[in-house]
Amino acid sequence: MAGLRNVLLVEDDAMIRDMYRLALADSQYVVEVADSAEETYAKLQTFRPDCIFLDIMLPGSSGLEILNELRTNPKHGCLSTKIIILTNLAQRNVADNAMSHGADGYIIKADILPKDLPRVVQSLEEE
Amino acid sequence: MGEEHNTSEQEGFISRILHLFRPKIATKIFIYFLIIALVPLMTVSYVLVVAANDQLLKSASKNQQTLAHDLARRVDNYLAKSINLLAFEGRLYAANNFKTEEQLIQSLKTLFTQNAALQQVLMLTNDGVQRILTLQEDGEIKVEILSQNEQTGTAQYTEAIAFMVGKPYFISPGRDKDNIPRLTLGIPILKKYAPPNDDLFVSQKGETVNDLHGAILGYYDISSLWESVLSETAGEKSYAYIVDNSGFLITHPDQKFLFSHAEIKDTEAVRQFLNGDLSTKQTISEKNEEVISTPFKTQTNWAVIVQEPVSSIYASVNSYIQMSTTVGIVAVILSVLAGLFFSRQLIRPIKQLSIGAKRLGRGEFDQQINVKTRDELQELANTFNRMGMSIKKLISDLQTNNLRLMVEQAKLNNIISSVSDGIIALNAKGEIVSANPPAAKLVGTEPAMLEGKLLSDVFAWEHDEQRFTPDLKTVGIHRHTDLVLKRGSQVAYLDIMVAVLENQTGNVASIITIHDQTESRELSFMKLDFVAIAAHELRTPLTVVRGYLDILNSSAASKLNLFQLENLQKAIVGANQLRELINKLLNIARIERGDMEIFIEKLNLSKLVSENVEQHQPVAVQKEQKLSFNAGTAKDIYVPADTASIVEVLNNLIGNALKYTPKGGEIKVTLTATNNYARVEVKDNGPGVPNDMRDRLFTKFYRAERSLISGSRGTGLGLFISKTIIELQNGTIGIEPDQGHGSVFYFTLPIYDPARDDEQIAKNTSGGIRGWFKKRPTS
Repeated sequence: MAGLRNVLLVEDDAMIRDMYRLALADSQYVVEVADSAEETYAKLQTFRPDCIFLDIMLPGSSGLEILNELRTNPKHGCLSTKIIILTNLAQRNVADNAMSHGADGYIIKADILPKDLPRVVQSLEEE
Repeated sequence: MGEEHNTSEQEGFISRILHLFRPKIATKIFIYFLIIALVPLMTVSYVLVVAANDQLLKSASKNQQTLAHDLARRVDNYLAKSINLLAFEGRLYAANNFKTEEQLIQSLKTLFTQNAALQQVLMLTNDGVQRILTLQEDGEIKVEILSQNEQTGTAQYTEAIAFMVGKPYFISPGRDKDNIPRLTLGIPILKKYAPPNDDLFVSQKGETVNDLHGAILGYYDISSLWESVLSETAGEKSYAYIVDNSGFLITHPDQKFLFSHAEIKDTEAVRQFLNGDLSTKQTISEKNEEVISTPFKTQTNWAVIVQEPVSSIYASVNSYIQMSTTVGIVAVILSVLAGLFFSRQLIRPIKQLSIGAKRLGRGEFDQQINVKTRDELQELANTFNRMGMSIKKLISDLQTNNLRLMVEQAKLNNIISSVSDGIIALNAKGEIVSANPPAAKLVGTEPAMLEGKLLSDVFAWEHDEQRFTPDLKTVGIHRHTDLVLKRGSQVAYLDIMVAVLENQTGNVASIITIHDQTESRELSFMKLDFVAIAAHELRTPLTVVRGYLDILNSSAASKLNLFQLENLQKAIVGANQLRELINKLLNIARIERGDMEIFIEKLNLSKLVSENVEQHQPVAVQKEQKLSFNAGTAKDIYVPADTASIVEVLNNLIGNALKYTPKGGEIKVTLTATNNYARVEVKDNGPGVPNDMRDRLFTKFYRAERSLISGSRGTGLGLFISKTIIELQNGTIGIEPDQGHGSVFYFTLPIYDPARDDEQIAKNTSGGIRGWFKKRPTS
């Protein structure tokens, strides 16, 4: 339980972002948010997350591009950070694409509830 | 080939000349007439003149030869006669015929009567006496007799005698002090004469001084020799003169010339003779005239030169030339007149045609060209008139078509300018003929500004960071995706379709359709389709609704009264239903397009069904229904299947059973397995499905009547989706025949077979559980 405390939530939709932050904060996670690739990279300079929830449909660079950047560019310090895609895109090929680019999980937002997020983080810790 | 080349070169030359002068047709015809009239005339005239000249020359030559021969004979006779007269006196003297000196003088005097030209006779004898008889002007003959003692002529005598040695006679032409021609003839007086013979010159040679008795010399005035000897036979136009073998002029018909010219050896005709050439020649006469000249040699080695002026010989030819010239001029005049007449005749209809053509050019298609020549020209004029009518009709058709085209064009323009894709029309050179606003907007300008510009100048497309230029030559439709068009800091991502068209005349034009993919580039990058986007867009607000409802439910439930709580629950149920609906619609859309995604894995079916039944227990409890699951001996049954989709089928079948079975009903879920198939059965004791509806139960948007009776709601999509899912995974789905109490739905799936299924399972990289996927263990 001691491992994954810091969570970065990358989500451009303010309502959804607040919703998940609320749920995660309720479970005692330290949550930082970003709404774009640029803000994500900026946040990562000062904040070291244990787990990143990453939306795909973002303005500018997509979540998949961010994923690729984080997994290939060591300067962000996220080569082995847990990254979970959190999106409403339910295409299996998109999910496969994300997995093959190094995502640890793929969540369809409409199919889960905010309170499920802490459980997801927990399941990652158990591995 | 070479000849053709030559011919064409000649034609080229002729046409250049013609081009230089630009003669009108009339002039050409005129020239042709002249040529036709003159060429044969000239040719015949030329040939005749040449032939006549030749003939005349031959005949003149022959005449001259004859004449010269005749004249020479005459000269010879004259000289022979004169010499023989002298010689006769010599013989008489030698034969001692003269008894006295008186008799001798008397005999000598007769010489003057026999030859009018004789001026003086000189007789020397070896007794030293010299007799000089001189014809005086009064006709008297003066006689001088000089004895040896008193005469001074001893030396003269000796000289003459010495001169005579070895000669039968001598002839010496000369001139007196007045330059009048004189002829000196001399004969030797021999001691002994041979008998006379028939030779023309009978005189005999004195071989030595001792053979000689003396000599007789005669001096002749031959100034009138020509008249007396030659004139009567000289031709009308020709004449003759005589020179000796040193070019000394002896006689000449022209006395003036004769007296003024003693030696003419430089004259060409004379030189010819002196060179030994006796043929007839055209040459330059002693008077510097062009003449035909024939020399003939006399026995005294003189030359009789007969000559006739060339002009006189050719006089007849000249008259012929004059005549043919006259005829030629007449022919030319006639040709000119005929040429003018015919060319005008020929030109008039052509002119009319020309005027007609000009009018046609101005657009007067109605005019009629009136040519009545009853030949090809009339035919041409008629064709012309018909052509005018055809053109008129064509133009009217064209105008109609043009109008129609303009309407079509306007329509097309409206369409083009209203579509959101960029459209550019290009000509064969790659220049923009027209462009619509979206196309212009891509490069930040107006359509009008693009017209006439080269496509490549305006649209600097890149593909894979390389400059990209579409092929505008190959006819067909070419598609290019992922093109990048940079404008300042803006980047547009484009798909283009290039349609290269070829019209009937072989001209190539292109139409480029540009689809701006910039906005949906992210989606295309992820290979998303419309349904996925729609689903995504619907899900986002749904996520918010469901999320906040749940937060409300878990955090604020204790603060709500029962009524509020019930309402909250209803909202949550509705949101869930919405979620199911969206998923179903998405699935339907995928099925419709034939790309339902199935990710086969090795699935523990008994475990899955068991879990699913448990998840439905809350609903069953709520409806006071009894929901049970019985796997019997079929524990840990594995099937190759897509977990999420099988969950959906179970949700559907169990959900339906719960939904359509009245309160207090019973739903039994059982799992059985044979060697090949696993079978899941959902049995209820509800109202059942009427037989006539069973066939349509698994079709899209079908809902059994009972649902209306029971008031349940549903889309009727579930069974259709389930059928598709199961059949995609090589299973069967259906409803058992009506037993009169409830209904039995079932589905089967093939049992997992490693040999058959592992390969397909290996392709699946992400394991799925409802709601989220986790990375599969790599082992």
